[in-house]
Amino acid sequence: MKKWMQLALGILTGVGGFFDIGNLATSAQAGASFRFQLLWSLLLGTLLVIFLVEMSGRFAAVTRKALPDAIREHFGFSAWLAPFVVLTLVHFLVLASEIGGICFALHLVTGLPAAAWALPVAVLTWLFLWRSTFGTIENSTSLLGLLTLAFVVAAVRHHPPTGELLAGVLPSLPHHDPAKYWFIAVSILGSVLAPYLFYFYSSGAVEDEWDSSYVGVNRGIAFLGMGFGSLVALTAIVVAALVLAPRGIQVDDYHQAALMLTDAFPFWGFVLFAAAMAIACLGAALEVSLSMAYTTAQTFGWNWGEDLDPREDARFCLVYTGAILLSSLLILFGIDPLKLTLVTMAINAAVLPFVAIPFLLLMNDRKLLKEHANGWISNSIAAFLLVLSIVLAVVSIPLVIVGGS
Amino acid sequence: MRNFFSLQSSVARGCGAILVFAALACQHKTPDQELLDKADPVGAWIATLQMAGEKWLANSVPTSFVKTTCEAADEDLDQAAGETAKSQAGPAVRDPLRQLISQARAAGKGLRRAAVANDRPGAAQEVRRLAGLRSGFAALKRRQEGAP
Repeated sequence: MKKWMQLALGILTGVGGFFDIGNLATSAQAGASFRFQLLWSLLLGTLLVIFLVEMSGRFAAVTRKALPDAIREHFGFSAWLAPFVVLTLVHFLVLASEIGGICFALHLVTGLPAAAWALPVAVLTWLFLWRSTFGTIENSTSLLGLLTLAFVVAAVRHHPPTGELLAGVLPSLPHHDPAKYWFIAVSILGSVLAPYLFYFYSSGAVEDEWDSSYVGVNRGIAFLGMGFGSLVALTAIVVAALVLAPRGIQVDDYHQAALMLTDAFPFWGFVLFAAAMAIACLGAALEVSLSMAYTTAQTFGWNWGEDLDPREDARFCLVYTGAILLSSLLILFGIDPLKLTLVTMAINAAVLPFVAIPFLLLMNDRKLLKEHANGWISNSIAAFLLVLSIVLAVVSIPLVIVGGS
Repeated sequence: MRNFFSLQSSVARGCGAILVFAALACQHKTPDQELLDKADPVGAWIATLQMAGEKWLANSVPTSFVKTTCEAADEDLDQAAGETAKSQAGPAVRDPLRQLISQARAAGKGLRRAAVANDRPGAAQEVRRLAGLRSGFAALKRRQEGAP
């Protein structure tokens, strides 16, 4: 019974916790600029993230080890150090994007500059982490994150054209702005396949004391939670395509995206958008901060655990404290949160091989995982992901230069 | 593992450079086309201001949102005006575009003023003006796309 409850809660948190600033920014841009033409990119990312999340949860449940911990043990500290540094820098940018998203949501509602909210938001995020347990963070922000379902309701209210929607599921070449099209496609993949997600999920499974009996629960959470979660991002594309694109509004600034829900909900749409943005970003900011602390602590072999008293894992707490403070400074100094988000999502895609390669090697280690090692389905997806991640690593940065301006 | 990562990053750098050059090489456009492509955000901001005004009139967005949106638009339109002035495009494209941007900035400022003063007829007038500018921008783009 307890496991069924965990499954239900896990699916809810998957739905509520999926959407973050990267999904919001890339979906709004995709729908506004290319209508339904980039749906395929989101669906591809979703399929891959389902498998990766399932694998990272399975790994943690069977070995009772989180991914960074296992990678360091298996491949050695020196081999893991370079990917760790690169991923930490990327996580830092993701955290700044999420904090920027919360600040912008507050700017929308209050009219005060987003930069003015940077430090209060940093303190709020830090306090949340300092005072809460892992369960509270995981469940409260994700349940509040169900507010993002407003995008699903809005999409249904707009009656999207089925034929065009289905056509968008298949990859097609753009009629205009090819560089921008591919830049957004890569950014969508980067936003869905965010590296922090896998480290957070596997560390969370260890925090929740999963064992081999949770393999089924993990599968349910990964497939249903992530699957339904991506529905929110998909409907954000649909809403942007039906509300912003016909008016000729492209999303070069969050003010433009903020109008997305006002047709479907004339009175509440604006507030719903700001609230959904703030909550989705707060949930993600907490996850990224924790993910950075987990990864660092596991890399250096420190004590770690959100449920421990800060006195027992002072260095773990110091990492998330420093990460939140430093990333909020980027927003305080006036960096455009949307541009930061879009570039960061493309960089997310560029560093995917650093995550995918050691991870997939571990998932095939039969000594570690025994009968739970990857089968042919997971390995086929893994092989595809590996090729895709290398292609993305090659193309994403040039696309930022050519298409991201 | 480390060797793999360093090999991969050099391959990535090489391929990246080729891709950038290829993409830039394929992007050969006339100055007129280049200017109009760069001006896409102008059309998007005009449409955004129009929608923000309409939604304010329908009580769907707060005054502070209209104010900050108009300010953000003005900043980008100012930048677009600078780029237009520096452009090598012919006067047939550059001059109407400069005029359009200048009118859009004026309409944005008017909308902001009207919203702050809670002047609904004034805001409605600016929204109509923005709708006209939006059509003007679309016509300019169509004319250029139809040109040889």
